[in-house]
This record gives sequence, C-alpha cells and structure tokens, in this order.
Amino acid sequence: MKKTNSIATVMVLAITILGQPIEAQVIKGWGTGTNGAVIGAATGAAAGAVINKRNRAVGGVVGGIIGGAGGYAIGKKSKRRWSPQATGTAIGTGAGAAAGAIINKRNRVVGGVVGGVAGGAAGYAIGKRIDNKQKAAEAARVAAAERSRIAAADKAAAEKAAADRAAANHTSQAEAVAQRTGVPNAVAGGSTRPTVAANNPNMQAASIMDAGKPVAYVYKSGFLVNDTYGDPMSPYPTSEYRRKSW
Amino acid sequence: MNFFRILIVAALFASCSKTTDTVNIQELNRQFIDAWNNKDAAKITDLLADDAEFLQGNTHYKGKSEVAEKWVRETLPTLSDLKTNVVSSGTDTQMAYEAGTFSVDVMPVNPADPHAYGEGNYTLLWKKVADNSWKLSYAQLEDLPVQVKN
Repeated sequence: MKKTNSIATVMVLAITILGQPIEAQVIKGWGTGTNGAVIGAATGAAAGAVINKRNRAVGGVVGGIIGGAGGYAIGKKSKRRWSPQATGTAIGTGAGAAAGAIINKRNRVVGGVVGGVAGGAAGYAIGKRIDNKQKAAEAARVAAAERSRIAAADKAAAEKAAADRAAANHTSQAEAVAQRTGVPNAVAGGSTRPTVAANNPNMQAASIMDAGKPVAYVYKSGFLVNDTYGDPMSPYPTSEYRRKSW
Repeated sequence: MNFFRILIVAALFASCSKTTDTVNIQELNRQFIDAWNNKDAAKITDLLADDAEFLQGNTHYKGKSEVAEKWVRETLPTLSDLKTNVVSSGTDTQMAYEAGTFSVDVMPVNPADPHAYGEGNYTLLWKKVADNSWKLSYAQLEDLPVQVKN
C-alpha cells in the first residue's frame, strides 16, 4: 500500500511540475502529437524511475520512451487542441492530487483523490474564465473587423457616387453651355475637372438622386459647390464655394 | 453804343462757353440691365465698346467679341431677375461710371440643381465713342458665394 502511494505521489508530482509549462506551450501552438509525446515521456520517465528501484536511470529512460511513444500516439489521434477548461482541469487535478497526497500522510491515496477533485474543480473554473476572456476578445476582434469592412465599403461607395455625380454634372453643364452659346466646349467631350464635391463631409445632396441622374451638392451652410474648383481658366478657381452668379 | 458793346462781349462769351453734353448714366445702365433680364444677347453685345474689357476674379476678357462670348453668352442662360443698387456714379462729356452692388437669381443647369441666388459688387464704365454713342468700356464684377434660395 505504501509503495502504491509513493508511486502515485511521484507520478502526480511529475505531471504537475512538467505539465504546466508544457500546457502553456500547447496553448501557444504546439501540435497535439508533440504535446502528448512530451507529457507521456515525462510521466513515463517518472513512473519508470519509481518502479525500477534497482536501476532508476534505466527505468526512467525506458519509461520515458514508452510513455513518449504512447503519448504521441494518443495526442496524434486527438485532432482538437485542449480547451482552456480541459487544460485548467488537468493542471488543477494534478496539482491538487499532489498536494493532497503530500498533506495526507496517513492515507495518501485518499488525500490525492480529494486534492485532485478539488484542484480539478478550481482549475476548470480558472480555465473557463480564461476561455470566456478569449471568446470575448475574439468577438470584439471580429466585430471591429466587420465594422472596418462596412466602413470601407460605405466610403468606397460614397466616393464612387460622388465621382460619378461630379463627372456627370460637369459634363452636362458643359454640354448645356456649349449648346446655349454654340461654342464647342472641350469639357463637353466627357473629360472631367477636379471637384471638391467628392469626399467632403461638409456637403450634402440638395435633392434625392433619381436613378442615373446627377445630384447637385451644396455645403451644409447653404452655399453651392464650385464645380470649376482648381480650373485656372475659371473666375474663382481657389474658392470651394461657387461664386460666379453674374 | 455801350449797350451794343456789352451785347457783343456777352455773345462772344456765350460762344466760348463749354457745352454740357453729358449722358444720363441711369438710363444707360437701365438699358443694360433690362437687356440681361430680357435675355437679349444682341442688345447687350451692341452696348459693348469694341475695346471693352471685363474683369471677374481670375478672368480678364479683352475686346468686344471675347467679352460677348465668354461673359455674356455663357452667363446669360444662368441668371434672371438681375437687380442693382447704385452706390456711386458720375458723368462727364466723355465718360460715365456707375458702381454698387447687385443681386441675381441663379438658374439651375441640371434638373437636380437647387435654385440659388448670388450677390456681389459691380463697376460699369461707359465711354463716348467716335459716333457719339455711349458704349460699355469696362466692367468689373466681384461675386460673393452663391447660396441656395429658400
């Protein structure tokens, strides 16, 4: 009975001590096969060393090889990574069992079991909290990405609409002038001049746009936009407001 | 005898006195503004001097044809109800001027454009030309931002 208790205690200690950094690495990105091999090797080495009292080194090596191979095989079959709850439970169980076995000297098995149950529960609670935090962070990241995508799409659509409107407005205006004056206007051919109507948050549509028809933009202050902004041949090329009236 | 001498001297002074052949600047400008409101491009062009000059912001048009082409004909369809408020005016035998402020309705070019109105300052300078008629020799406009008409 004493021998069994000693073996169990050593195994629990080995799992507890070696398991924590290993589990941390699993969360960071180790594969499940590697994870199982490492844990199995450590556990097997500890068990082998305990069992083979006559030559603990040989026992440790043999146990490590067997445990590592077994752990790799088991881990490889497990496609899913450990969840934070599982990780927390395992670590908590190991730590609790070890602590219980050490504390309860009269009956280390009972101590180990009680400690393992308590530690497992505490570990699960901690893992659940970590999992909730990770899920919240992931949800926030997804929501931010979605907001960013929607904003980019809206901006692109607004820019295209403004550019289309400016081009159509300017062309039709040039054509109207050419028609009235009988003078061919180079702009009437379809080329466009720079306009401040696009991308300006201080502007708003003066009327709702019908499908395919240009929309006139005015500043929120009530001034018209200068469609010839930047055109050195126009009277007021530096004014974002339309100024020419007479 | 003295009476006749006085009469002759008075007649000489009268013949040497300066003629006061000035123009009614208000009437000239009324014709000009009415022609704009009646969309009468021919009348406006007829009132321009051959060497007329037009200044507006960055633009400077020289000569009757360029002023008629680039100012009158391009602007005429875009406005209505042009009104002026005279601030200063003056005349002599060869020149007359009027300056003040103006307001005008800005017509929408596209169906979606809003109705708007504009205001600004103006100076019109008239000169008597060779045939003794008065023609617009110089016009300068300074437009304020065009606002949506409520």
